[in-house]
Amino acid sequence: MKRQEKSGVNRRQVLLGAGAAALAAPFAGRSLFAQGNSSQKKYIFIICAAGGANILDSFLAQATGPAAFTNLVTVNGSPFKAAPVLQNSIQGAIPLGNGYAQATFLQKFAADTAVMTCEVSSVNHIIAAKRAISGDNAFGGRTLPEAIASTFGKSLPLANLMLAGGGYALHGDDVTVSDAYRGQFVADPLMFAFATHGYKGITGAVGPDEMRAARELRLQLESVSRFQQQYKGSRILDSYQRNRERIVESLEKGDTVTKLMLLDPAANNLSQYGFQVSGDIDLVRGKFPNLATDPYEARLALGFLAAKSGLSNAVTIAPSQAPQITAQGSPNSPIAFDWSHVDHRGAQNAMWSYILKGIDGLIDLLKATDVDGDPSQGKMWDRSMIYIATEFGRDKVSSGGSGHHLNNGVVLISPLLKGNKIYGGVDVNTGLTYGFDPATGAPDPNRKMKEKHIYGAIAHAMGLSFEGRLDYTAMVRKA
Amino acid sequence: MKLLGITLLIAIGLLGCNHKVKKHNVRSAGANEETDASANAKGGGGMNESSPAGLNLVWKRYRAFEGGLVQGLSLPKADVCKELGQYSCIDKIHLTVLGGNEPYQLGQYERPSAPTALTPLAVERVILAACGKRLELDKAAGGGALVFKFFPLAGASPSAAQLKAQAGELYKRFLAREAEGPELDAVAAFAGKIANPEKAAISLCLAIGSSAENIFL
Amino acid sequence: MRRFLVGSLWLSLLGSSHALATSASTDIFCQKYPKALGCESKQASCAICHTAVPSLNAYGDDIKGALTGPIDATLIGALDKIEALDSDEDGASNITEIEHHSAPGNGSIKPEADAQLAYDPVIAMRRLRAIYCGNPASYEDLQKVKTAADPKAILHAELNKCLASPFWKGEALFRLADKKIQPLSAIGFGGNVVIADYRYDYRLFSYIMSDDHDVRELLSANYHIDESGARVEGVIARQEPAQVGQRIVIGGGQPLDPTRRAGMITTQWFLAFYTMFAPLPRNTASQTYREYLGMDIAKGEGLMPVANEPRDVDARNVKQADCAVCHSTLDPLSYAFSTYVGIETVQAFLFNSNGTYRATRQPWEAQGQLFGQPVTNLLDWATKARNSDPFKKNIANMFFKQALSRDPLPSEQGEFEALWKALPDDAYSANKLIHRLIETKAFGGKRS
Repeated sequence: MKRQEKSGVNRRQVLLGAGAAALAAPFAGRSLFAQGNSSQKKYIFIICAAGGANILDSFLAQATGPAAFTNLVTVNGSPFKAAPVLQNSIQGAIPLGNGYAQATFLQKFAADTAVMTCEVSSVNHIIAAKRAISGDNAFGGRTLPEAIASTFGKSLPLANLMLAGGGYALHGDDVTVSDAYRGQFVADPLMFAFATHGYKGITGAVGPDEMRAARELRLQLESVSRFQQQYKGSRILDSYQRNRERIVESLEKGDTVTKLMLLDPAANNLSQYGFQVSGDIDLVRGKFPNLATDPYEARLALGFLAAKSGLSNAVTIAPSQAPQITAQGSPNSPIAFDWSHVDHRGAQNAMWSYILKGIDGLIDLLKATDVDGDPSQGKMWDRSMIYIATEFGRDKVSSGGSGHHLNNGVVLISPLLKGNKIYGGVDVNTGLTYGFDPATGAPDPNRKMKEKHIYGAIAHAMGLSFEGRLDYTAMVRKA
Repeated sequence: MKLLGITLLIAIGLLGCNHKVKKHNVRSAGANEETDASANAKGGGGMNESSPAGLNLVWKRYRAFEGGLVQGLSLPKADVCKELGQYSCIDKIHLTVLGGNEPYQLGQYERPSAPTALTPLAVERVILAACGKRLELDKAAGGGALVFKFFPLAGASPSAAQLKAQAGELYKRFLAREAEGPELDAVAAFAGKIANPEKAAISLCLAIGSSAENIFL
Repeated sequence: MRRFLVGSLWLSLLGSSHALATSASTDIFCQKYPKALGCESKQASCAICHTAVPSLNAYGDDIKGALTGPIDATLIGALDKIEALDSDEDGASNITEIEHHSAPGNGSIKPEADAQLAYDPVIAMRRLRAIYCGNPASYEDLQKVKTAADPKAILHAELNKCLASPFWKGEALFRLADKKIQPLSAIGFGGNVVIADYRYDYRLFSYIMSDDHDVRELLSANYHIDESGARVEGVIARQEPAQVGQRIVIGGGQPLDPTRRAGMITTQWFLAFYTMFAPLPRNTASQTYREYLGMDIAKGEGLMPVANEPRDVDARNVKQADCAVCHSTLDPLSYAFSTYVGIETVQAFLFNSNGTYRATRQPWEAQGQLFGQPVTNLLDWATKARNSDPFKKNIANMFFKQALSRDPLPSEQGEFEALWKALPDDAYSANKLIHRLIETKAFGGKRS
């Protein structure tokens, strides 16, 4: 098996990107933050199937064995199976699920969808989630969003946008990652835009000229203060001041506050405060109609807009743990996939539908959108990887509650992958998955794929190399 | 976010693991990469937020930051800052970037260990809102102004002396100390840069109120 | 992050057939390097060799490469071989780091020349007012400190006011409890699916951690605190009736028999949230171990394998080698929790049974161990835990981090050790610990 001999992305790509970055200048109609490195930009969207999403309840569903389904759906030409939409409820009282069929997803996206089996190394939610994004320290402790942000999102002001929590939001263990590529946590996606502008919308505040003068004065005052001298060399102080100088004005000049504004203008009197709703609000609302009330949809909308606007290229999104109860029921279960402890099949079925429906909308948007607003750069989807990350699988059961299980598989969706394929397989007698040969893609019942293999396959597909990474030739679609 | 679990077990591979965290094998990009240890050495953050002994500052987090504005500008807590006139800047909109956490709804069980990239912007917004509120009150108070009382808020651009007097007041109110000579010199040099006295007052308030000394302890 | 840990140093020096570490390895390391981080009480930190078990850091990796045979037999030689190396490439040799309470495998932590620090009461005043009062010191406050003959007296008086304030008791201490309680509004009081009421947990935590109460009651209190702040003895009924409809309410109040209570770890929320439906409540035990004793098994901390464990009493297949390395500690920790109900449905609806004690729930209650000693039940477990050094260290570390947002530096280990060791002399008062903390140079030190 061939291993990468040296660390580093393709050196030629880096140099080309650097040259372009040096020469290019932002121009009207395109993202202010394109920074000339559009040619190298790639996007990763990590959708956190939080709580333990079981692959046997989605595209590796089985017709026989301990976790057998009846009425499995097969989509033409696809090796995947789709579990039927179930009509479960929360404790017999609240209808559960949004009715979205897994088959719908496969009909639209099977060609770009790959399932990779795995057996992970922890069933602790926090630890397992961190390993899901760090590949169990496959790349020196650098998480996938950190790695992709720092490699393909250079100079982006908020390269690594974190719309998730728990273990998915933890920093990696690589101390060399600059805080410019650490996750920027978003508490409330509907309100996030406000934090991207220093003064807009503040009653009686000053304009850009006065702000510039005030900021300059602040710098002068700090430079002569005893405090600054006393704490010269303080990491927290240096970091704060570097961040302040690095992104404040760039976010303001790019009018990020408008691009990311998702609040309803009428209900919130936006115009009274000088704000406008995002020009893309109808676009995202078309795919995420409940974004005003459903945090998952709002996070998807904000994540897309941040990437579209050239702010971010690594976006991590998780659903809410709270059920979004309406008169029709709840589309998601309490505590997300972990409701499986109470109702395995109902939780898994509803949550897979919930997660996949959101991704369906996201892919549609990425397919319709030019990179940095520049048609010559192609569509965002052509450079995107969607990784449905989860902590672990569940017990291989068909009903009732279920516990955590190391054995599982993950779903990757990307044009960078050879899709419509299962990498690995399932022992129908036990429901346990097994691995494959990364070079040939051949299933291997004696092999287990670990977190580092998932990380490695994603890295390879995105063009990221590092010491110890295997080649996943069988999985990667050639450009 | 933290989820529930029945079986907390940690499966650890005893064999075949040789992960490292070592600087020499984590390089991912070429010479133009901006993410490196040197950036962190200059304050880029990273896993360990500590500095050498005596250089470890304490972040003045959301409640103390707010308290400083309530006390320093003699404002009711509710008037310090509201986005769109209705959402609390401190307790809701900017809570996380100002150092807090919301456990009940958002499942944030820990506060951020250090300011984030967007903290400086949130700081500016809150300071500006509070300064603006104080200015509004002082304008209405006329001769009874509490804070902005060292030059008329309508009319001519404030002089260097007036700005220095105002700065001295703001240093005491925000930073709990006297302004020093070089600082007052910088303030004096600010005279004439903003003609409108109200805007000059707000700008001065922002410059002193959002300086790092008011963010860290 | 550094921890002060019980347990074996190296679970395994991974990837080597020689490298399965034992608790003897810890002793070898600490005998050779008594000044090393964590070895002051013969307990070394996994972080010396691991990023997160099983992943090795650079120092652990170099040890692995230097072993020539079974770890217990060849460790000394391997340690000698790599003393002069700088495994983490931070400019300080491994031996220098070990001898200066630093981390040879963590490049962001390196020994430093002892900084000349002077205690500055003005800095301390600025910090204590913000941290403990939520209200920064004014110009006048600082002038008083600057001109006082005994500035520390002013600091302590001010601190007393802060620690009695609504901010400290009703906000700061609540935030300190978040990670221990991990509330979730959707399933707490007033939520859509109510399994328990975590407001009791916050109130109990705040009560115990204030007003010079004994912090050991975190693991022994048999009372609760009501919304008025008063102690409530005995069983507490649900505040809203059980229901199944648009909302589902099956929990609430505090139904556990007071004679079976052990403070924060036997509230209805704690047991329902962490145990849920598990026959063997490993999650509950590990959360207790992590949050009240400072040891996170998921990170390989506090591992003290018990002979003939794990027995896999609930058929979870934990005997396989990958799992057994942690479960040989975790399962014996968990047995004592197994007679406490997590979540039930019909029983809970009818009888508010979540978080109650049921001797017949599982048969493993008396089979557990904590710190290598047998425990007969959860009360015994909690007694041993709250009287241990890890408990004291965890309390001190909690307040140190709450104040300074960081762990103690290598050069601050002396001050830190003094903090936790003073707890018995201070009748285990959190307030008194904080009074000591504000006098440290870590808190109020300034470069001179």
